[in-house]
Amino acid sequence: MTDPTRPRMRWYTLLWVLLLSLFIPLGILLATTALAEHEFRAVAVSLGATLLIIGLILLLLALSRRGALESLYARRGLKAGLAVTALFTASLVIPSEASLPRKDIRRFTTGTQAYDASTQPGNEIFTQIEKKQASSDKDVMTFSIFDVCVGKVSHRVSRDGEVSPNRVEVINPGILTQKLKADAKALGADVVGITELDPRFVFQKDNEGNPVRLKHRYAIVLGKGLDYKLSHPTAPLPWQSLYSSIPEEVAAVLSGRQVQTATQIPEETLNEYRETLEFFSDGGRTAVELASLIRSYGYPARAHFGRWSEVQVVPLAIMAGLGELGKNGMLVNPAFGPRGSFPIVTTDLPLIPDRQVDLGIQEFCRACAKCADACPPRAVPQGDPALVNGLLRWQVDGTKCFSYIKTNPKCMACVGACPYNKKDYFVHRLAVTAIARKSRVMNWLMLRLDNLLGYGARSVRVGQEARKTLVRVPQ
Amino acid sequence: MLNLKVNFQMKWYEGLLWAVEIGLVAFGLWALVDTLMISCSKAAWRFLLLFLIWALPGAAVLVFFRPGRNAQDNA
Repeated sequence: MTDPTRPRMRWYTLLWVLLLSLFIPLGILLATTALAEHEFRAVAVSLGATLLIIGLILLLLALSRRGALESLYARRGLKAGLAVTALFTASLVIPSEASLPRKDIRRFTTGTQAYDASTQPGNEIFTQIEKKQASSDKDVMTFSIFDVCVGKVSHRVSRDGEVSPNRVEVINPGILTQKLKADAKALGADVVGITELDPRFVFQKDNEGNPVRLKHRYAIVLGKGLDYKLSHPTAPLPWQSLYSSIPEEVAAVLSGRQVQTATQIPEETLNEYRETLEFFSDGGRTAVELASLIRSYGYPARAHFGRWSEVQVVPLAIMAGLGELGKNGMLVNPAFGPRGSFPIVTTDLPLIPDRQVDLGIQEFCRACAKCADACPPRAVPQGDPALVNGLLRWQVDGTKCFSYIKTNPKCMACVGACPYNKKDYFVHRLAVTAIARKSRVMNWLMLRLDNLLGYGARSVRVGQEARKTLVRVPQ
Repeated sequence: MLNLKVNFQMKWYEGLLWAVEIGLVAFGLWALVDTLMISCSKAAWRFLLLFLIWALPGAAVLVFFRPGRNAQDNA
């Protein structure tokens, strides 16, 4: 039997308890996700917040039991709190941020007909690596350092090849598209999108200055995400080899030529190098293998990756629905943020193209400037986007960026600082979905939460420290 | 002034069961954290679930069964 002298719990107290209880599983999920990402500040903050919420619930229950919430002020306070919370929740989901105009690439871009791959910023650095290590001027191999280390070489000539004379008749392009996407994932792609190959995004000249002849109908964009733990300024990157930054002994162990070294190299260091190098060579391998598969169906196909791409990657990837262009000039994908690599296969195989998606990423970029704050040479612009080739977007200063990378090949400050740079976990997917609502309050909240949890803080700190060095020693 | 009185008694085999239960849950939590540290979150939750499932029969015994009168008299 219930005690008639004990005050009964009011509906609004019960609602508060239920509301607060919702945050307990969320807090635990966030803490465990952060632990998997080795973001220890986020673990501490989310566990602390969960404990605080449990404390609040117990306090509410204790006060209610004692009848301390029966006063007029307490009752009004609890009710008003509920009303404010309801309004705040509504403001989180009601779209209040104006969509960035001129997002639709197909419709608005004026294109860059005269675009010449050999004039891309940074070309002088990257082609140098490949040309230096090539055996001749022609049939240049797509060398990555991993190729050099372990002898796994994807020939440039393998990008294209002989088409099988027995052409497969395509009865249902929809099913074929699904199968091809599954095949691409089996070959190593994390995400796959298909778009019509817009001739405005085909280079007129390749990076050696030769004219490009490419008339394929479709572009299959393969997205591959770099491991989260490698996407910050202190992680090793393959182009370090240009500056002899990969220690000789590490290269020797990676190549398998030497097992025992004079100095013991930690397994973790070796793995970091191995994973980064694999990432940069694997995208090309996936594209080459997929192109070869399509050619075996009797349709022409050519792989485009790294500096050997004959198409502009980012606009095609956006048109294929793989993400949006971020403030840092990179394609931001909802699964792996800005740390993706996007090899492309162009083909005539009849496929069903995907559509460009609007995930509110650019609207979020408007509120966020973490990449611009982190960028050592200030190549990433602050403020609002400007009109570039018919589209409203942020234009990264490529010359500034690559002249900095020449001397600081480890820079990944803008990638590491980006709030979208997370592992593809459920709780982060929730955040991406929430941001897609395009609410100003939600964007503000997510940004504050990201800072509070300490995501990207290391990249911002390293980037800003590097900037101070630049100021002291003018370039 | 706080005046706490804690009084409980159990059979040795009840204590053993409690120890097994606590051990299983502790193992589950350790497996969760350890597997999260190698960034396999799905496996981590499944490990925890595995240990919790193993702990379920023992928990059911603790909740629904008490030593009978004979056992108490014999003690």
